[in-house]
Amino acid sequence: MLAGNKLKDGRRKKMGVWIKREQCIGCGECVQICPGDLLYLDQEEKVSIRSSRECWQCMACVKCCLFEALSPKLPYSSADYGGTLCPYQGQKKINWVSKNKGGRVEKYFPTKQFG
Amino acid sequence: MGPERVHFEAEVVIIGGGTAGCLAAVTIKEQAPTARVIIMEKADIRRSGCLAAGVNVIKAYLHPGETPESFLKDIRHEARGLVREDLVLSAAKRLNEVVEKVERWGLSILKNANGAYLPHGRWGIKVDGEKLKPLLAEKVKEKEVKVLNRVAATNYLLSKEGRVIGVAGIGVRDACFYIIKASTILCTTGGCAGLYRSRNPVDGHHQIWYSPFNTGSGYAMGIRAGAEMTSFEMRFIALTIKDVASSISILTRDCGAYLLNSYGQQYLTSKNDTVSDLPFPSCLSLFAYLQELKEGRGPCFLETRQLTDKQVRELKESYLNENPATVLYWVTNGVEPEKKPVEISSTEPYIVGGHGQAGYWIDQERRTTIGGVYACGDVAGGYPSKYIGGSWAEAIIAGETIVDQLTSVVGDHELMAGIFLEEQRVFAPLERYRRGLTGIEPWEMEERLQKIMEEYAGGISCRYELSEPRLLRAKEDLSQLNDQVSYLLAKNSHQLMKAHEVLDLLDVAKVTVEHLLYRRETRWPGFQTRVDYPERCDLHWRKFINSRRNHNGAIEMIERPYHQLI
Repeated sequence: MLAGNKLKDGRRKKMGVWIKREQCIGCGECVQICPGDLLYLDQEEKVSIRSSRECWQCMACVKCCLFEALSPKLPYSSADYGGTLCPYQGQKKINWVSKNKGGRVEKYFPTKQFG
Repeated sequence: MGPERVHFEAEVVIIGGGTAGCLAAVTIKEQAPTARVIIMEKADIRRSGCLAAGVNVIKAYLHPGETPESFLKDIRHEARGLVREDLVLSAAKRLNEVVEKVERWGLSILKNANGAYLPHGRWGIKVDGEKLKPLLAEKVKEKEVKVLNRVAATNYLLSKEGRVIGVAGIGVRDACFYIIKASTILCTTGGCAGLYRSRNPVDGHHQIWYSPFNTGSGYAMGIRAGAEMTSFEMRFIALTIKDVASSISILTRDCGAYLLNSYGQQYLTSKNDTVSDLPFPSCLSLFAYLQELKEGRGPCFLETRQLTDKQVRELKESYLNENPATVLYWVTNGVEPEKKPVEISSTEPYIVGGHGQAGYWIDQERRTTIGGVYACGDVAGGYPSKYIGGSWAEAIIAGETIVDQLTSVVGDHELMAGIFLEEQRVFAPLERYRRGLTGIEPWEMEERLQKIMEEYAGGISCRYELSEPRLLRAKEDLSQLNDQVSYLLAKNSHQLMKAHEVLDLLDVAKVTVEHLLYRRETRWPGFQTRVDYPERCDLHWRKFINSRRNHNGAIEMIERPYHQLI
């Protein structure tokens, strides 16, 4: 039912999150965590987003996915196409990697102590 | 055939497992380990409420040299002279204790070389709080609190005398009707977003500062049960980073960023007419921003070009702990704060008791006016700028009061009377769909409500300005909308939750408009600009405006005096 939204690289274009279906194993962890009750497993046991307008961008789903099947997406009305921000799991903490439109990569380790 | 009923019984039910609710649950179990405590949560307590994404700052904390009295003076200044001083003082005495307690549970607080907490402004501390909610949820589990995730509360169940005897709710995933019998209920549902149209269109509908899933359900349940509510006219509107609506506090307090208009002028300091060294109250900061726009000197910015590369990295890492969308926004749009000032904008108005002071009218022990019901956090009124630390302090106070006054659960007989009516009300939108009737979808009613509030009750498009003729029109239109409620339609349990969110918003909106009409002065410019009464008048209006819905559904207004304690 979402076939029209499927991109060549397997991601599905929906506001809120990019979903890489081939990486989703259907564990449902993101479905459990979403504060807006917006995610569900579809007939193929893959995650799908219910509403294109209700995501708060809290990224709880993105951060809990161990299979990197989800990545955040801002509404096009406020953000260009092309840049990405993805979390990756460190030990007991979450690190992030961003890539801008030009392909420049930056890594962040926000949970270190500083000061 | 009616919905499946699920019954529970507990000594204490906490409605809403956000940061206040979780802390209260643990406090109660620490002091009364055998008491049965249930948290009823619309989402999943590991990532629910305002702190779903995490947090990078905790306010308030009394750094060395500060006292509860100095704290109160600052809050009073921020609230323009009107605040429940008893509530602020009682919480202020517990602020440090509670932060240190959560630190012992595992919250990572940033420290300097001497081991002192790194300050964030005068009253804040910096934390690595990305995992604050999972941490609190873990503690709740450890204390054997029963958590009902994905159950949204719909109404208190009351005895004939008006005392609480339970709470009803809907299963967001299973569409069951939940009935929890309890004589003590703590409401910690948070504040209310969604009353006004979002600044961001269509897909960005929920790209807002406050949690869009906090839709005032605790306020609405209180209103429907006849609780006395206070200060709904003190709306809160934040100045945020444009488009992503993230807090600018890290930038202004930790990075020395200051506000600029489009001509490069520091507009806030040039108009600073406050007599003390206290900071500009947030309502006046918003008002000054709005004046810049009105007089053609917008858009406005935060000067960030002084930041070093190291500071920018720390800034981004800080946002990743609280609002990662900010970093994504900068990455995708090629924004480099060290090269170009960051544009700001103002949010939609919200009704909140943690920044503003709208909420239940409570006593010093955090009891509401309904027997057996307590409130703390964003849903409790009278204590503005309470933020996370203040919500925790209130949770401890409420928890301790509850433990002191634990009462036994009532018999089934009394409870049953209210259940049938509530079941009918709650499941009506689902029933309408099952009967194959057409009607109104929840999002349609939400848009209509937001349009009314936007146009007549001071939304963004009219610079938040309020006047009696427009507010009267809002009142009339809301009343007309109220007559449409029976046409609401829900196709599944998710939509049923959405239907009740919009019904709650409608009840909160009606009370908000009454409060906005009643206060015939401008106490909080920006938040509450009455263009027909532009002056602040301490002689007549330094008092609380409260309200209570009576048995006929009419909203009665009540005035309560302000008591200055220091």
